[in-house]
Amino acid sequence: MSRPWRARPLTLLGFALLALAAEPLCAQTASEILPDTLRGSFVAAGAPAGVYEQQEARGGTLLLRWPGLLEGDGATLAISFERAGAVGQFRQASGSSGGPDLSWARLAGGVLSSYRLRRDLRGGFSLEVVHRQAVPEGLQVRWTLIRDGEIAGSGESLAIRSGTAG
Amino acid sequence: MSRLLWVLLFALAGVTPAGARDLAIEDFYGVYVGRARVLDGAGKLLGERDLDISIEPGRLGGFRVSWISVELVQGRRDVPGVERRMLESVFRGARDGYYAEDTRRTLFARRQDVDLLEGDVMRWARILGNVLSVYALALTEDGGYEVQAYDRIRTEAGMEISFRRIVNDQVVLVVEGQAVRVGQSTDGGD
Repeated sequence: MSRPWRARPLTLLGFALLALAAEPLCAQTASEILPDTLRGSFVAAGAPAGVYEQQEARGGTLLLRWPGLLEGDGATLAISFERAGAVGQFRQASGSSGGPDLSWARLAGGVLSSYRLRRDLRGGFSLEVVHRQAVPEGLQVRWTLIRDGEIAGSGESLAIRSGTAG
Repeated sequence: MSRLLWVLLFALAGVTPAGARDLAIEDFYGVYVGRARVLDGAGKLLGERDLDISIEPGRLGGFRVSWISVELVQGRRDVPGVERRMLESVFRGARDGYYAEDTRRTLFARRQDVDLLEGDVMRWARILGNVLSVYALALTEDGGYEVQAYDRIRTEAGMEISFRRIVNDQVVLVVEGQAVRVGQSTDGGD
């Protein structure tokens, strides 16, 4: 016959140790989508200047912040994306702010891209595309703005790492 | 001084409203035939194509646009290698400033939302001034994106045509041409 009063503290201790050991593993799982080199905060001085931040929440939700091109005033957007059907695709999560008609993201080949489509009141449209790629200094940002089927602008800038986000 | 002011007011009244007026979709109805040049993103001539465009009324204020393009071989359409393609899009009546594509196959079919991430193509049209534009946005198989913009600019004789295809931030194809409005006959006499 077992001795439950002695076994129980040991069992609890075992579970506690197991949980402690599992914590880094869980954290590692949560950051599997976004490479460490892309995760964190970066500051770009060149246009579009501002803070670029990429975080990853448990469950594979990405939270991205960046200076939006569609707004024109350089306001920082914060949009969360959740995994979509295809590998590497993310759709704008419900309740995100800053999304116009449609926003989605893609992570492929070490490049994290965000896309935002906005249609105006006269049926014209703007599509903002921002690619983020890790470089030794931080983040290389390449952007393209398409308006009514024409490339209205494009450019790239270097964003220097300023911190590590959750 | 007051005479100059009146002249200016008349000039503004005469130019601004007419210049800003958008044509109605009915102004584009008709059949057009023409020819266009096909260029790559760098402006290099790739070839020529014959165009046959039809714009006609659709359901509930919408419209239907169909077009046939024949890729010519050295300027000819009666030699081997010629390719013929036929496409059609149906758009619902204008709402929020644009005509969304009607993806229903029948009048009573249930309308479904377009989902780019599920492989759907998002198409819509709008009229600005004398230009009927049809836009399409889709994700490519490798997860990139593709934008197509097809402008049909109404002229007295017919229309000018301008098409751009952008794939992953690059213009990869441009088509420019003219088409004349033609009469239609169904009497079969040829």
